[in-house]
Amino acid sequence: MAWDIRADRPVYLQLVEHLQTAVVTGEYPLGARIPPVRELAGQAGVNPNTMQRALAELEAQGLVETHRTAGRTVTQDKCAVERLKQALARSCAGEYVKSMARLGISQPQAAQLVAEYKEEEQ
Amino acid sequence: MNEILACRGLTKYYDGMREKHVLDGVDISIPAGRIVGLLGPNGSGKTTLIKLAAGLLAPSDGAVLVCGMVPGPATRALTAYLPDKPVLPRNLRVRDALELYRDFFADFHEEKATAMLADLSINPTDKLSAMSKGTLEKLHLALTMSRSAKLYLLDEPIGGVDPAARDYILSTIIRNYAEDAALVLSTHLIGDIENVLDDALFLQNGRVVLAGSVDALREEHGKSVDALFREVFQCSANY
Amino acid sequence: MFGKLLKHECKATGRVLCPVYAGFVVLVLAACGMLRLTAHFGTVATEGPVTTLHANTWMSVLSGLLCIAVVLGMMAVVIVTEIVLIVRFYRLLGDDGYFWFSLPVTPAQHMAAKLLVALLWSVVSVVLFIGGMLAFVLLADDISDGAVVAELWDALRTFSVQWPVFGFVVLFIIGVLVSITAGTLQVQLACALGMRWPQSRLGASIGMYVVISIVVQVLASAGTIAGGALMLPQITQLTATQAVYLPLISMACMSVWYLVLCVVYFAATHWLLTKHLNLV
Repeated sequence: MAWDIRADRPVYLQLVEHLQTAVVTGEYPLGARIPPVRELAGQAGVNPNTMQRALAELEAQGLVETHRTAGRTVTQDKCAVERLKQALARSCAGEYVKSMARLGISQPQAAQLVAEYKEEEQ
Repeated sequence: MNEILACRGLTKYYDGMREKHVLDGVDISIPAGRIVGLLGPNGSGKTTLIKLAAGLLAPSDGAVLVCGMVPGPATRALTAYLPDKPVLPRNLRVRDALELYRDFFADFHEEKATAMLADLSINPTDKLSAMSKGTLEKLHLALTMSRSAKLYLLDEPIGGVDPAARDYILSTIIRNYAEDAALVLSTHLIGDIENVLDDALFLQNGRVVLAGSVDALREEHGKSVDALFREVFQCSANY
Repeated sequence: MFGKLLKHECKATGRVLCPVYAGFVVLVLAACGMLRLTAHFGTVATEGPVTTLHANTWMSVLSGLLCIAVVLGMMAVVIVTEIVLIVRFYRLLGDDGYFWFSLPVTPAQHMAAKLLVALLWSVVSVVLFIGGMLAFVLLADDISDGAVVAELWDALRTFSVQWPVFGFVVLFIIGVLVSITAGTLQVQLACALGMRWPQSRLGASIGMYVVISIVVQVLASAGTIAGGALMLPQITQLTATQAVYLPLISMACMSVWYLVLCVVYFAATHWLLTKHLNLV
């Protein structure tokens, strides 16, 4: 997944979101090693201090663990990841609802659109 | 000593032009482990500030300190300066330039430089006089960033290079990050380098008009530093 | 660090000067060779120190041209050397300075390195100049079967026995070296002063050189006149044997004067480069 850092929001917040998504989608599987700060910063094209801050935030959220010799790894805690997934999903849903409301589409209509969309996909 | 670069009331004017201060009472403190951007329009004093830190100019008033010392041979051993124009003698070959750096800078890592030059497709036998401006700038950058200095001063490092080279330069800056060193770069191409900076210092008419960490500025103003810059420095349109 | 500075300074100036010097040597050899050939095919008449050749026209013409070329070459060697050294220091306070002054080297070391290398090449150029003359002398000697050198050797021996003359020659050489040093340092000071007018640095540097020359000249003249006036009573009372030492003393005084100038120039330039460096 490409690092897409937008210009108008704080970098560190965007890094946190990107890392969270990577954990949830399994790009960084449970227990997997996370590359060192400088490498990640290089990949993302961002300041190493900012990347460090983002990783520290993830650690505070319990998604990442730091080991003295092994560096940083993703947590083994499936429940924590699941909780995060739900939180992110709820957040996306909230965005969708707000967008639809802005267009003047009622909630039943919005739900209908979701169902229709899925059918088209199949 | 954690304060790598300090300016206290730094003022610079040229004889015969005392009314126009190129730098006017600038106060700055840059600790180790920070990447700082010196942002401002042309003529705002960015290059002058960098040259004062490099010891190529003497202050008219106030002081500039590098690792607590006045710029001199001792600080130059700790400072890696990349000017905004190519300054190596043109009649040299690349390997002669490597020899120069090897001879004069104890903290020069030749293997690093050679690897970078290979990445940039620059051969040791190439003549400097035959290189394009962009290639010369890449050469200067490779040599400068191969030193383990305490203070890196890059004056407009991405100004004259193509976007691909720009990416390479920025990733080089990230890769070379050291916790005990500070990197100061001046530019007006803010959009490209914003994400790499820790802090931004806005200079206008020789004064610091805005300073802060990039993330704090984005949060406070709800826009990118680039957009903020355009707002702060907009050319007045009195139509 | 200073050694490295010297090494690079030599290399950089040598890159330009050595080909010039090599070319000159080749020219001298060619001229001598041509003259030798002409002499071989011509007749030689020797009247005392004067040796004349009578030979084929085209050979003579070629020999003559080559001789002129060598004379021009002798002047060129000295002039080119001075120009290269002056330009080098001037550029140090311009774009070149961005690199050289970013090195962990003191301004004194920069100045000393440039000075030593300037002295080196100046001496080399003078040696080549004399060598050019010597080549002709030896050639003439060779053609006249040893007559020329024999005359010179006689003259040299009669004079060198008297130690005042020997002393004079030694002091003369020292004087020349010190004056070359003073001249180089004067250029350095002029360039350093010229830095204060970044917009017209070249003009300012040249102007400063002229100003310094005038000031020094005035001081020297005043000093000489004053010294002469003061010493007049003693001079008129000198005996013949004592009077022989006068040239020695005047030579020594000149050397001391140039030495003082060297110190003043160096101190002033050093102060300017340390406290008021202004690279734009």
